[in-house]
Amino acid sequence: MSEIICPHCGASNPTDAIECKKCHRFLFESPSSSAFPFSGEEDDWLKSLREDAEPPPESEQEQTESPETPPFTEELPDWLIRIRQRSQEESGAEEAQSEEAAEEEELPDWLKDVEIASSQPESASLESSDEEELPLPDWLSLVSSEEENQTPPTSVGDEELGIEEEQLPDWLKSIGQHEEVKEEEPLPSEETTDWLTGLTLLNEEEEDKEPATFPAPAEEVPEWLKSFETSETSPTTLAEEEPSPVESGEDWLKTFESFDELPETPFGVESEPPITSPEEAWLQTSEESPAEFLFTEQISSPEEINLPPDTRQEPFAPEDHSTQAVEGDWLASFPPLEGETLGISPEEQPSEAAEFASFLEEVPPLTEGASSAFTFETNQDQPPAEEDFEVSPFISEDLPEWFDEQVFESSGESSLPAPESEAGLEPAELPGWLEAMRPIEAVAPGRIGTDEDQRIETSGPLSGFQGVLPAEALITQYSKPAIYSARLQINEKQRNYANLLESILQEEKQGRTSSRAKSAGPQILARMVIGILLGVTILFVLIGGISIASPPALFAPENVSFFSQIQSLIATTNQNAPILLAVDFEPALAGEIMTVAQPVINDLLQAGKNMVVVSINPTGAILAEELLLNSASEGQVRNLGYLPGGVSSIAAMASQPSLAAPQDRFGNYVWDQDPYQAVQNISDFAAVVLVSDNTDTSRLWIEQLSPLLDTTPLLIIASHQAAPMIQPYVQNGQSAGMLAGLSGLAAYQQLTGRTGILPAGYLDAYQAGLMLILILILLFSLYYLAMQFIKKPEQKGK
Amino acid sequence: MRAPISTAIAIATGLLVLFGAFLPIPVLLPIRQILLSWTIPVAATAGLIAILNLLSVHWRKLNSARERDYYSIFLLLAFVATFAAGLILSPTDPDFQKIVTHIQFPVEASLMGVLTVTLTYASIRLFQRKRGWLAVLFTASTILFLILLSGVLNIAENIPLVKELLAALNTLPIAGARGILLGIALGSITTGLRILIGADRPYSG
Repeated sequence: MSEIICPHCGASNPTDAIECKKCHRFLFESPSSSAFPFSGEEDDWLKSLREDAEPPPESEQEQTESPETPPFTEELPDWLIRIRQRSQEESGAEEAQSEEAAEEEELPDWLKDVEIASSQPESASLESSDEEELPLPDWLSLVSSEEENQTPPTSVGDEELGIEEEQLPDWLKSIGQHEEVKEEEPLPSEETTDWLTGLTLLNEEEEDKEPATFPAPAEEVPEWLKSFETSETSPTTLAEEEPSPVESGEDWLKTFESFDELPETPFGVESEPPITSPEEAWLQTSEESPAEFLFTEQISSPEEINLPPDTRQEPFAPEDHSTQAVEGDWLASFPPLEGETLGISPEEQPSEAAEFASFLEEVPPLTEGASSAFTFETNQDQPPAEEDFEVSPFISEDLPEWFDEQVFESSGESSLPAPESEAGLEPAELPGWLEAMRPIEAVAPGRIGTDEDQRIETSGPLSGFQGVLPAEALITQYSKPAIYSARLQINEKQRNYANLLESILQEEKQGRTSSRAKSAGPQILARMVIGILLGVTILFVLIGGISIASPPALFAPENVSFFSQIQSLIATTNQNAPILLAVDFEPALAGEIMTVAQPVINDLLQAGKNMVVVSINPTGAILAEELLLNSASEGQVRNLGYLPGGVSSIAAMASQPSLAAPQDRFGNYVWDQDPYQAVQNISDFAAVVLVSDNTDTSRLWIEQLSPLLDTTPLLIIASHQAAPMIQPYVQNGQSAGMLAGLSGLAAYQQLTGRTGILPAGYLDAYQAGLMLILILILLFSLYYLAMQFIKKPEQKGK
Repeated sequence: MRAPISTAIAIATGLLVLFGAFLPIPVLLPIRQILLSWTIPVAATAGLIAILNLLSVHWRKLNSARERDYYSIFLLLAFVATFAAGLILSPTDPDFQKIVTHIQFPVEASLMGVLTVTLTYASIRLFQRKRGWLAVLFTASTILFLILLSGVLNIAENIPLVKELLAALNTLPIAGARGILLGIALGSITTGLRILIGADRPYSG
């Protein structure tokens, strides 16, 4: 802050002004006599502060217990008492250096402030013989000014203090304004906070217990301290006469608390009280101070500032420094610093930057432990110190290289050029806790991605998104590929070789003519020869009358059972029950089937049995007509024709014959005539005779009829090729008997004892043909086997 | 599930017919008969459709631009002639029946003779094409059963050892037939169960 705001008119005035330029009223009409407007009960946190405070040394205690202590000091808190004592000691040291006051103008500002604060006491007993000679930093001047802030009584003017207005620091002026505002704005006592009231009561109690806390004699008390004591003589009066608004009073106290807490928390400037009035303008110096720049990240919201001191001190609880120890350290360091500062001759004082640098080098504990506490007094006229605070945290060997190259270079460009004195400064080390609190941007290796990633999509479903893959840009980069000639650059010789290779490959593709095509003619010839041989053989046997076959001596069981069933049917006297004849064979095998079935059908028809013919083959009904044409009498056979539907029609016929096939081929209803009207079920037939050459259809007939036949016999006349598949049903009893092929017919002829059933020469031709086929197979099989054994040695020899 | 309605109908119909065949429930018998009576005209219609399909196939083969089959014209002409004769003469006319007895019967019998020659020739050249135990076994079985079924050994059937030997050899084809029939039965049961549980739906198209 380089200006003072007039508390009367609000005008801005220079720091050295005593009265306002605009309203011409004194800026410090009412010195801050109400620096401690305590009223009400004290809070626990204040008690703890007092308890935690380091007890003063015994020598100081003895001084404080002197009876000559002004009564008003009893109302002061302990810390203020200690500060006063040290100020008195310091004043003594200043007196010894009074001859240097003539050269005050050559001193730096911060040293001026220190001198202003320490030159006022007229007499002081200081013990500064052993202290080191160090320049007084800004923060130390702040402490001194704070003492003065408490000392100026309302009745004592600046003239009495012996301080010229021009020599007053800014913060002191602002405090004066602040006190004026407090006087003008009285605050009811009931509106003060509880803790403030408690603090007042505590002061009263201390007053009762320790009536004389200042042992120093009255003549030794400096004038400025007297005035301060004068203002403190009646704290209750101050609290009553100069009540301040609750908010302003609290803010002021918060700033005061910060003074108290700062030594306890080496980097304890966590929060900064908001500037609510012009009187607190001095606090803005702390905001602008470079030291605070280091800790701006720790400053939280204003609400945190209003927290009790205990709460605010919690984050620093793990620190090694206890409250008492820290407080004692920084308090103990005051006298020697000031005394040594005063002991420096003007000739020996270097330039401001060098002086500050040397100070920092010589007092590392102070700068490390109380740097935050001293940021309030940092003078703006000391740019080197400001730069030190700004740069030092980031100059560390522990930082990565990229940080030094990129981030820090960029920041170095914007920062002010370092003065020459900075070269002698030791770069500050970044504390561990501060390093841990670095923002991630300071550690991360810069921004990932390119400028293209920042492009915002303007079209398509991804419109508005950032970092979308630039498809259009990539597409535009592609172009039509270049066309290269596939023609080989070869010479004439290479071309000839290629043509030769191509001709060789063409010959391989053509392949060789198959020898099988050459043998197609002989195959046809062989088939014709075989056919001719069979035909000639059969004709020779039939025409020549050669008898080579012999009748069977043994009969198959199915043949015997078949014959037995037929004989039983013929022998039965029940003529009303018709016989169901299922004709299911193809014209291709009609020669064999009809030859076998004809004698059996004739026996039945001759026995007077009525028959119902049905077929699931379209040609079966016609073949049945041909089969029964010459044997059946009129009305003995009713041809129901063809039953479409395959197995379904068989099942229907098995369940209800009259419904499955109600009419014959001529459209006449069959089942209302005698003897067919007696048939209601399949079991009502006298017998079921199946004539089939097909194994599948034979199986369907057997499977569908046999469960419903009951005692009705199922007789099968089959071809020789279908016999093996039907024979299992016969052996299981599902069929009463079977007559298969010419061999079966021969057996039937033998069983009946009749001749002429099997035509003469028929069986001989049949056996002759089979024997010829058998001979051909054997001969050619042996021939090919012999050829195979003959060719193998030849191939092995090759 | 594809075609749920037709699947439900098929399953219900199968269960009704099955229960009607195994359970003596009077109510199920007429239902079974009705269902079977519906099946017969449907199967007849299927036969008619098969005839129409046969005609269309041969018509396409006759009119095919790439591989024209001129034999198809004989089938088409025979169909038209038979159909016309049946419409004119009726199926029960004896002259109409001669189409079967005088044309179809000798033709198919001749085809059976050609088949005999073809099978004989194939059996002869079996060792020329296939050499191995399978060819030997097939040839041996063919020769054996040709001998047994020809009746050549009828004379030696009275010989005790030969009699037993021939009886044993005759059981071989029966044994093979039984195995085939068992396989067919198991396949039929599996197919029926698959249709009843809806796993196999050949009717859904």
